[in-house]
Amino acid sequence: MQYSAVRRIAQTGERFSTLTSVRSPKAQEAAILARQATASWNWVNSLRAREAIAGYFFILPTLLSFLVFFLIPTISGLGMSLFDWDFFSDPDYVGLDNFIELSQDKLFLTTLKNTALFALFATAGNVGLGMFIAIGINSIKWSWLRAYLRTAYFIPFVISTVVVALMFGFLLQESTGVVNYYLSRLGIQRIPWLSSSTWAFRSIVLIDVWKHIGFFTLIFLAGLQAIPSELYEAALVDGAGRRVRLTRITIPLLTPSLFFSLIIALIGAFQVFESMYVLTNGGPGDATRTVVMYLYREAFGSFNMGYAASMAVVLFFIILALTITQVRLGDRWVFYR
Amino acid sequence: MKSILKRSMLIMALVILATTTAITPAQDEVTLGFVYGSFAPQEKWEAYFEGFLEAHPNVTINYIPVPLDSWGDYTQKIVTTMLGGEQVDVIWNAIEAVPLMAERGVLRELDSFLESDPDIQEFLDDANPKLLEGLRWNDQQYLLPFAWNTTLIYYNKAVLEAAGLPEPPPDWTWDDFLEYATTITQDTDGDGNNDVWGFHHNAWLWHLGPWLVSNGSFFLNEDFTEPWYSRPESIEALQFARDLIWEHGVGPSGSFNFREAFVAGTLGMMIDSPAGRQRLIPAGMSADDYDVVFFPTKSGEAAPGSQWGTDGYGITKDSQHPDLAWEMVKHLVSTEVMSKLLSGEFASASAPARQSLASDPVLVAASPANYQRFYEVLENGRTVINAPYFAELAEIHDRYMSQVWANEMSVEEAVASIQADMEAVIADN
Repeated sequence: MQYSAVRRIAQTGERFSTLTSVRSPKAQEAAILARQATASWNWVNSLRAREAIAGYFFILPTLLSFLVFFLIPTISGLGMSLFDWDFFSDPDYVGLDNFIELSQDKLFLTTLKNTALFALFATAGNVGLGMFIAIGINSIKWSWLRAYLRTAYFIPFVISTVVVALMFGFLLQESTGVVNYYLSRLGIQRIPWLSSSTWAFRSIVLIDVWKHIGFFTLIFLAGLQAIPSELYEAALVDGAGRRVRLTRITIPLLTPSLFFSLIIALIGAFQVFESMYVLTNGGPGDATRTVVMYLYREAFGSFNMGYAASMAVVLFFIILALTITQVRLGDRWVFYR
Repeated sequence: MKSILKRSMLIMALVILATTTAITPAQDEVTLGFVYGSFAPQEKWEAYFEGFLEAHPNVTINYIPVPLDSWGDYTQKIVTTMLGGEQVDVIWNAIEAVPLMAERGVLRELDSFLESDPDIQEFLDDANPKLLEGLRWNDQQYLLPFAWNTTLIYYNKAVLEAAGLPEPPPDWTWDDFLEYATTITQDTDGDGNNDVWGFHHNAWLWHLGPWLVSNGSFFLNEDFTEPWYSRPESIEALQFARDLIWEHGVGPSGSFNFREAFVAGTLGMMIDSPAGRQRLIPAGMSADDYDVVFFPTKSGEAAPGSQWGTDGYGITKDSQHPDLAWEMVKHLVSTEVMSKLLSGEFASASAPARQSLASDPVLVAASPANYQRFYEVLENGRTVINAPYFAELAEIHDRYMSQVWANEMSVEEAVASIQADMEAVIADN
C-alpha cells in the first residue's frame, strides 16, 4: 500500500514539474515535494534500502523479545520501585521512600556484602582457573584427549543448577557425606561444608566454579584457536621459552576473551540465587543470603513488590557501573590484533 | 376414535419430548483448575477424583502442580501462579496459609455453602472439630480439613534392642531420653566418628515446637501476637535440644538424611509425623519395625504435648464455577477419598480428618502399635503458627536457630534476637 502511494505521488510530481513552465510559488513548492517523493521512491527501490529493510526484518524477533522481555520489564521495575504495592491492592506512590528504607536496611547491606564477595571469588575462580585450564588443554598434543577434556569440563555447565545443588548437598553432608567419608579415611576431620557460616560460603563458591568453569574454559579455548601459529614460530626462532611465549603472546592475545569472560562472570555472579536457595536457604544465619534471595523473599514472601523492585534497581545500577568501569579500564589492558 | 386419541397422545408426547430436549441445553464443558503439592506425582492425586469425574462428565480437571518446600513457599507460588493468569478453582493447602490467603482475598469463605448444602452435615459431624476450627479465620471457614499431622518420636526397635534398651515409656523424662540417646550412639569401627546416632533433629519449627510444648511453652502465645522465645521454659527446652548435639554429642550436626539413616539402622530415634509412614514403607520397613512415643518432659509429670497442623481444600475467590468447585471439595473430603490416606499408597499418608476413620483396620494394619498416640497429642497440642505474617516469623526463627545449630550462636543470644525481631514484625502488621 505504502509503496503504491509513494509511486503515485512521485509520478504526479514528475508530470507536474515537466509541464509547468511558469513557476508560481505554489508550483515550486509542489515541484520540491515531487522531487522529495521521487527521491524517497528511488531510495526505497535502492539496493541499500532493500538491504536495510531486510535487515530490520531479520532483527525483528530479537528486537521484539528484547522489548517485551527486557526493556518493558526493566522500565516497569524502575517505575514499581517508586510505589508501595502488595500485588493485591492498588499501588501507592511513595517517591524515593523505598530507596531511603533500603539504605537503612541492615539485612540488605549484609546481602549486598555477601553478593559482592561471592562475585569476587566466583569470578576469580571461574575466569582465572578457566583460563589456565584452557591453556593446559590447548597444549595437549593428542586431539582425542583435548576433545575429551573439553567435553568433560563443559558437561557441568549444561546441568541444571538445582540438580547440581542437590547433588552437592548429598556429597557434602557433614556426617554421612561421601566427601567427608574419604577425608576421614585420610585422617582429616569432617568439615561442616554447608552447616558452618564460613564453610557454607566457601562451598557455594566452589560449587559455582565447578559448574561454570567449563563455559569459560571453552571461551578461552576459542580465543587460543584464534592466535596465529606464526607468532609462536617467530618467537621460537627468536629463542623465546615457554614462559615468555605464555606471558608475551598467549595471555596478551587472550585479553579480549578475558575481558568478555570477566563481564559475563561478574554479571552472572551478582545474580546468583538457585544454589544458595537450594543448599542453604541463605543460612546459617544470613551467611549465604544474597541480594536476589532477599529480593525474592520480599517480592513473593512478603509481597512488598515496590521494595523488592527498589533492590532490583540498586542491583541493576551496581552491575551497570561495574560493567562501564570494566569497559573503560578495558581500553588500557585489552589487546586487539 | 380411540386410535385417533392414541395417535394424538403419541404426537403430543413426541412434541413435548422434542421441545424439552431442545430447551434443555447440553451441559457446558467446564475445566476446573486444581492446585496440588508436586511431592506426589499427578496420578496419585488423580486417584482422588475417581467418582467425581464420572458424576460430572462435563468437567475436566487442569492439574496444577506446585513444589512444596515449606507451606510459606508453597503459598507464595500458588499466589504467583494465580497472579500470572492461571485459572485456579480448588486449592489444596495447609492451616499455615489460611490467614494469608484469606486476608489477601485469594480464598472464598465456605460458610455460605456450609449453610445452604444439607449434604455436608454428615462431614461436619464426622470431622475432628479442632481441625475444622483450625481452618477458620476471622470467624469464617476457608478450607475443609482433609488430613492432619503432628510429631512424635519414632524409634527403630532393632537399634534399641541392639543397644540393650527396652521400648521407652510414654512418661519418660529428659534424663531418660538422654540416657537412651547416649547408649545408642556408638563409634562401632573406632575411627573417631560415630556410626550409629541416638537421635536427630533440625532447627526447624516443626522439630523444635514439640520440645517447647512439652515444657509448657511455645514459639508464640495462642493468638500469635506475642513471641514466647524469651520465656524461661522456652530457653530451657531450646537449650536441652541444642545440647543434645553440641554438649552430649548424641545427634549429628549439619544436614543429615535422617529417614534413610533410620531405615538403615544408623539412627535410633527421629522426629516424624503420621505421614512418616509413607516414607518408611517403600524403604522396606514394616509397621512392626518401629514405633512412636511422646516427647519426654523435663520432670515426667507434665502432659505430653506437640504441635499439630492440618491441610484441607478450599475454593478461590476468582473461581468462575464456585458451585462445581464446591462439589469437588465435598467429594475430596468424602469418606471414599479420605480412605485413600489410610494405606499410604496415594498422595498422602497423613492422618484422616474424619474421626470415623481413626481406627479403620487398614490404618491400624499400616501403622505402628502406638499410632493412637498421635490422636492423644492432637488433643493436648498447639496449632502450628498460623498468622498472616507466618513467612516472616519462620524466616526469623530459621535465621537465628540455624546459627545455634551450627554452634555459632548461644541459645540466649538467639532467643533475644528472635524475640526482638518477631515483636517488630508483629507490630508492623
